Order: sequence, then C-alpha cells, then structure tokens
Amino acid sequence: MDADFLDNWLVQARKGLLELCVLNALSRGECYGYELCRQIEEVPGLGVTEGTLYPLLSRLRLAGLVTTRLVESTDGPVRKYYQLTPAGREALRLMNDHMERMQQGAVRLRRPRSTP
Amino acid sequence: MTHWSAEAKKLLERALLEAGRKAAGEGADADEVIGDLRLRVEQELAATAVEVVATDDVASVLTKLGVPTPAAEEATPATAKPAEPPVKPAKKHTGCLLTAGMFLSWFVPCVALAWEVLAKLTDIELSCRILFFDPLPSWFHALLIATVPVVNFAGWRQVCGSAWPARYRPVLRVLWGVALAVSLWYGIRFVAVLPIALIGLVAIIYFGLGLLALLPLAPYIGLGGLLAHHQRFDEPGQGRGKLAGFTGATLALLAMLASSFATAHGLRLAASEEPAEQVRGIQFLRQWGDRSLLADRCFGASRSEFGFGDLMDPLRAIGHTPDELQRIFYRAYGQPFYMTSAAGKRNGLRGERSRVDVAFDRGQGGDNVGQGVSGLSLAASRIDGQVEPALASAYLEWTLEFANSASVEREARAQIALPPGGVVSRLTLWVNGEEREAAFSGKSQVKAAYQKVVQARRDPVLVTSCGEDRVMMQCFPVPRDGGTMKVRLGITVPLDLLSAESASLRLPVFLERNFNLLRLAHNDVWIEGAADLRADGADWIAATNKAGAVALHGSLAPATVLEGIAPLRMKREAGSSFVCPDPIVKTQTIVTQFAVHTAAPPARIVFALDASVGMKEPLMKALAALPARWPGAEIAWVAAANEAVASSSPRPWDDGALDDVGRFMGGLAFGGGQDNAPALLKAWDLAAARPHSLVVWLHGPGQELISSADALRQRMERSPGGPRVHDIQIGAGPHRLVEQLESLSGYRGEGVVAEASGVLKDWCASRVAGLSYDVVRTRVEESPPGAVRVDSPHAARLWAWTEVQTLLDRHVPVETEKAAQLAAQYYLVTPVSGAVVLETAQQFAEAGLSPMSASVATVVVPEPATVLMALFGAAVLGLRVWRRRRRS
Repeated sequence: MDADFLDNWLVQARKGLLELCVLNALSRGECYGYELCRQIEEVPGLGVTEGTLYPLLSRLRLAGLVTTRLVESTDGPVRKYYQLTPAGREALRLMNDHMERMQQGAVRLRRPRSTP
Repeated sequence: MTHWSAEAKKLLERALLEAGRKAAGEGADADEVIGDLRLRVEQELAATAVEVVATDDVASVLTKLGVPTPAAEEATPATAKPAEPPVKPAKKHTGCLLTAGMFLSWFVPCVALAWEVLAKLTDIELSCRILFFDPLPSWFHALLIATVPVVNFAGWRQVCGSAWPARYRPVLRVLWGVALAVSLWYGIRFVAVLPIALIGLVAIIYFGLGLLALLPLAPYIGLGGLLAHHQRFDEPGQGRGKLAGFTGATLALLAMLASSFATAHGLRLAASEEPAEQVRGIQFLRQWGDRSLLADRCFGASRSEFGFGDLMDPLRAIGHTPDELQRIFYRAYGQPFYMTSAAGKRNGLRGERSRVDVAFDRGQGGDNVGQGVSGLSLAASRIDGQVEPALASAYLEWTLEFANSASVEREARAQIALPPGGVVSRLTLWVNGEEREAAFSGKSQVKAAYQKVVQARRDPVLVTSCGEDRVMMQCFPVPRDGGTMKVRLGITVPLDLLSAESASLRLPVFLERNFNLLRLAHNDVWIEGAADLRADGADWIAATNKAGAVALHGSLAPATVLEGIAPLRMKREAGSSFVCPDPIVKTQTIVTQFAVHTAAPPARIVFALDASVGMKEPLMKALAALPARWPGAEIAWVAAANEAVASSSPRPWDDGALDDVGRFMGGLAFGGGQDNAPALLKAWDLAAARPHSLVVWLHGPGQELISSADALRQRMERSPGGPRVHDIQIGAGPHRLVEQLESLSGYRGEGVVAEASGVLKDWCASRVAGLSYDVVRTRVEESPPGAVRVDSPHAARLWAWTEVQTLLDRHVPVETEKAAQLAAQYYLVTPVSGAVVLETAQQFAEAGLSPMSASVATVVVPEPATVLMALFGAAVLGLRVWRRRRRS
C-alpha cells in the first residue's frame, strides 16, 4: 500500500470532519480556543493545532454558526468564548444526519451483494 | 515587565501576517485570526515568564500553536498590518476625569429621579414638577428614567476595573438602548430650560446653592455617560440589543405622548362653541383622554413658574381657564377633578384619602365651597334634637367643631342639606368660650358684613341659603397650628307625615365641604320628645332625659355626616288643631291644623333619570321599589344619558310597565357627568301635557352646572298649577342645577339619601293610597275655641317659613321685600335672608345688624311646663275623641 495514499486520505478526512467535530464539541457547551483544541485532540486521528483551529472558528463565525464573547479574567488576559447559534445547531443537526446516513451507507457497501 | 527584541517582534508580525493571508484565502476573517493568534502567543510567552522575548521563544510558541514560522529574510518584510483585537479589553483606569464623569453620569440622574419621586409623593414645591413640568406623569416614566443611572452605574464600575458579569451583558445592551432613548427624549424636553439650568449651575458652584439646577441637566449628563462607554458591553455585530432597546423605549414614550395628544384633541373639541363638537369632545375624552393629565390642568397651578414649559407637551398651547377645564372634566368623567380615585364611590368616607387638598385656599371669603384645603378638619359633630310629633315639627341643633393643623388660618366652608322643608333658625359661634348669637337680615347685608370682617381677619360665621333645603356655612378664621373653632346651627324642621298617626325625621348632612373628616371619631346624636321613637341600626340607645322624656341617642359612624341615616320614625296622636303662642309677635298665636284629604292619584308620573357615572346600580335599586302597577296612572321616563336626552312615550302603569323601564335602563349608556337640565325640561313638558301629573327626578350629585335652569324656572314660574317636580338626590354632593331651583312652589326636595328605594317606597305608598296629609299653620290674634294649647317656639318659625315661601313664589319685588323682612323678624335663613355672627357689638352696629336675643333663641331642652302642657293637651284631645265615639 502506498503510505502517501493513506496519509492523503487521512488529511482529507480530517479536513472534512474537523468542522463537524468542532460544532459537536461546542454543542456540549461554550469553550474558549485552547480548551476546544484539547477536546478535539481526544478524537483519534484528529489532532489539530490552534493555528488551524482559529481560522476554522473564524469561518464558522462569519457563517453565523457560532458567536463569541469576551470574558475578563482576573488571572490573565481576556478569553474569547465560542458558542453555537441557533443556525449553528440546525446546521450541526443536518451534518450529523448526513454523516450518519453516509456512514450507514458506507457500512452497507461492505456487505456481499444479494443475488437477485 | 516583559521586553521584546526587535527581531522577535518582526518574526511574530511576519508569522501573523502570513497566517492572516492564508486564513483570508480560506474564507476566514484575517484580522480576527491574527488577533486570536497574537493573544495566544502572548499568553504562552507570559506563562514562560521570560524577561526578554527572543526570536527562539517566538518560534517555539509558534510551532507549539501550529503556526508556520516564516524563514528569516534580509529584506525588510512588509510590516504586518497591526491587527486590532476584536474587542478592546477593558482598561482598569482611563483617567480620573473619565472616572469622575462616569460617576456623575449615574449619580446626578439618580438624585434627580429620587428627588422628583419624593416631590410627587409629598408635594414638595421646589421640584422640576412645579417649576418646569412634570417629568414623571406615570410610574412607567420613572422606570424608564431609572435605566439611565442603572446603565451608567454599570459603565462606571467597568471604568473602575470591576468586571461586569458576562451574563448581564445582553440585558445591559438592551437597557443601554432604552437609556439612550430616554436621555434624548428628556434632553429635547429640557432644551428650553437649559439656559436657566446652566445659570443655576454657576450659582451652585459660586454661591453654593441647592442642587435644583442639576435636575434639568441630568438627561445631558446621563447621555454623556452613555456615549462614553457605549462600546463596553458590545462586540462586533452585537448592536441588535441596543437597537431593540432604543426602538422599544422610543415607541413606548411616543405611545405615552399619544395620550397627551388625544387629550389635547378632546379638549379642543369639548371647548368648542358648537354643541355637537362639544359632545364629540366629551365622549372622546371619556374614551381616549388621559384623566390624570386633565385633572392636573384643572388645579390651575402654573406648569412653569419661569414660563418655560415642556416643548413636547401638546397641552402647552391649551389656554382654557381652570373653571372651563373643571367643567369639561366633570362632563367627561362625572367626578370632581380633585378626587384621584377613578372609580369614585359617591357615599361614605372611602374616597376621603383619595381627595387632593390644596395648600392655598382660592375660595376664601367667596360664594363657593371650593376645593378641600390641607390641614382643616371637622373634629367633632353633635346633633341634639327635639321632636314634637303632635305639632309635626322638630328642632335640631348641629354643633360643629373645626380644627386646623396648617400653618395658616383657614376658612371652613360647607354646603349642608337640611331635612326636607327645614329652615335654619339659629346660629351661634363660640368666641373665647362665650356663645354669640347671630343677626338675621337681608342676604346681601349679612354677606357684606361677613366679608368685611373676614378681611379684617376677625371671627365671623355666615349661613346663607343656596338652594332648596340647602344652606352654605362659612366660618373664619379657624386658628392655625392646631386651633379650633366651634359653631352651632339650629334647624327647625316640619316632620314628614307618613300617615295621620306616624311621622319621620331626617338629619342634616354635608353635601360639599372644604375640610376633611379624618379626625372625626363619631357623630353624636341625641333625639328626644316622642314616646315611640324608632331608628334603624344597632347604634342607638334608648334613654330618658331629666324631664322624663324618651330619647334615642347614639355615637354614629363619621360617614353619617355625609350619608345621613334612615329616617327616624315616631307615632303621633292624630289630633286636629293646636295653638302655640308666637314668641316674636307676642300678640299673635299660631294655629296648627291637620287634615287628611282624599287625593286623586296622579294622572301621569314622569321619571327623570340621571345616567351619570355610578348611577346605574342606585337607579335600578330605586326603580325596583316602585309598585308593580298604579291603577289609573300613566308612567313615562326620560333620561339624561350620553350627552343627550332619551325618553319613552307614556304608557299605562300596569303589568309590564316596570319591565319596560328595565329595558329602557338597559339601553342607556351610563358615564361621565350628564346635563340633567334638558332631561328635566323634557320630563316637565311630558307631565304638563296631562293635568294632575308630576315629575320624579332621581339623580346623583352634579358638581358643575352644564346648562342653566332658566327654561325650567320659566315654565314653573308661569305655571303655578303645573306639574310638581319631586327631587330625590342619591348620594352626597352638591348639585348646581338644584341650587338654581330655589323659591319655586312647584319644586319639592325629598332629600339627599344614600339609597332611594326607601324614600320612593314611602312616597309611592301614600300616593297610591290616594291620601294626602296636610298641615296648615296660620297666625291669628285670638285662639279658636277648643284648640289645644302647646308652648312651642317652632310652630311660629314654620309658619313664617311657609309665609316667606308663599311671598317669594309670587315673584313680585314688593312681596319679596316683605318676605325678607319677615324672615329677618323670625330669624330665618331663607333665599332672601341670611345669618351672620360677628365678634363684637361694634361690628354688628357698623353693619347695621342686631343679634338675636337669648330670650327668643330656640333651644332643644323643653321647659317642664311645656311637657305638662303637651300632656294636658293630649288628655283633652283623648277625652274629646272618646266622647265622639260614645255619641256615635
């Protein structure tokens, strides 16, 4: 097997899943950037750096799927918290539905074909 | 403190620039990404606690964050666009000036609001409300204004370094919008006042005067604070909350102003010369007008002591006098403008605390009772009465004590409803503990004497007639700072004959007054003289006086001075003729004769009904007391309703007649203060169309005269034999139309009652039975033989009163003059005479008056000889009746 092929595929897969995973993580409650990064890292094979995460979060904000708020912190600089908007929740629901259907479809393709 | 090397800064800027470009290429916000990454780099470096940040440190952090580190380049890289963080972080201290300004931006509006609220509750003179205009017409306005100090307080806290909890930010954004709208709103309203306020500010600073000038400046100071920190609760794209708050507050303020515009529009129509427009205006005000706003204008106080009004007040241009506004107010709402309770109970003391009293008495020395004045109370009320059932007369003495807690002297004024047919025959004032009797003379003479003495601030009391069975009493001065003043009215009353063997007596009540009853504990009543005296209610106690006469007494509720009590009833011996010596003209004797006639029932009874506010229930109760049928009679009804006259055609009073009345009543629109004059006129015309008819007028109080009674007076004066008008007023209060119906033989007051059903029932019962009980008093030189002699001074006065009324009813000047002389001679208060007590004999002499001598003053306690004479008379009468029966 070509290792490059797998690596490429994993990169593409991470790209496709990253937004879904970020939205799913935010659906559990608001987070700031570093905290979100730590949560995403728990997904096997889905390591992400903050350098990658912040542009993604900015895109999501511009799309109206997340909002941000600044919180003053007594023990450090201000933190920016991210949370889902209603549009974000709706988009997440649709994405999860699609993901589930695609996964089920992909699993069905593994079964032997039924003879007519 | 951390220092950065130049190379480290350059490296960071290049890396961030590159990351920003890449992010922009992916559709992200470059500035935002740069800002976030910069923040993370700073956090990481801060965690390492290095003192000098070198390129290696920056590279290490960038690698950790996954941000590509650009290769070192000789050429000077393009300077990274200084990225602005998405939101400026709050700074702990931005200068003393800003902090002080933010403090004032919440403190001044807070103080201004608190002061105006206090001024509204306690009527403080030194307030924006009195000097300029009322900034708090409703509590909702106060709530809106309160957002300004609340939001600016949050901003001040922010400036001082105290973080505002994040969960309040959305609310604060909305409140910020509201506060902005409110500040702009009041800023516009106070524009005209600004020059005065600025001058006042200089005065404060230089002379150290009070803070009053800061009140008009409060909205501008608040506005400054709002603008100074408008970003502190905001993030990019989060202005929706502020916009919502601003829009909502503006719409709410406009909506509240709409009621002012509606009131101004209604007032313009109501004050029109065109009657149809007046009616439209009255009905518009009733439906859409702001009652409290109109009431405020009725008080007549200038809304701006400095001539600066509220620029946004549509009523600013209303130039009507307070009298005109008060009349319009009454027509629209059916209540005096000084009663703050919108529901308005007509009876009892329930409305006492909702009455607005004024500090300055505009009506002092005048002809009207006017509005209540602060500090003046009725402290004690006592009624002593003696009934003489045999003579069908009674004498009551009402002693009143006034107290004044104000810091100025007050004049106590009241309109009193006498028992039907009653006349004031004595007036006494206590001066330094001594009783002084009144002088009785022509009305204008006694009035002039009173006013002259009032101006000299001495002690007079005046009683004059002001309508059928109504008198006005004025006494001055009630001393200030807790001083008291005591007066006594003596009232001679004919008993109401219910049958040949029974009679009833009502007590006098206040219809209108400028003092409150809050200090009155009870109304002490003592009535004696009849063997069988009955009263409703458990408050009465039976007793006997020292002369052995039966008495009833009670400490009645204070409300009885307004509502009265159910009539006292008593039995009487059915004698036919009594004689009494005349105490004034001692050569004369008064003969009192009783007769029972069979009277034909009235051919037509027309009910004139008042559909003013609050009258529906009392009228329904009253009409329920009517008999179901009245053989031989017709019934018709006319109502003053909805600024018009509704009427029915006469129909036989048989089964179904009262159902028709009920349907008629159900179709009426009750509300406001209706003009009863046209309805009464229509009712009289309906009654006059058929001989032997009469009118029963059921109405409530009427504080304003809407149209004159001239047309009705003309009809009644020109038709002495025309229909009689029987007037039953339901509920205490003056009635300006009734005051114009004095001295008309065709008009009879049946009294002011809390509930009309009892009176109406008695009234109908006697007439349905077709019997009438007449009492005729004549003055002769010699007693007729066989007449029973009774020593009573009251018969003479009742004779004189009847004579005066007969003379006045002729409406001839010569007869009127005779009536005045007779009234003065017999010490009576009539439409042409009054009574005044002056302080000194010199004042009486200067006014050309002489007070009543104590020897002719009527008293309540009878002489023992009188009792014996009455018993003797009863015995003789009993013997004659027994002999007559024996013969038959």
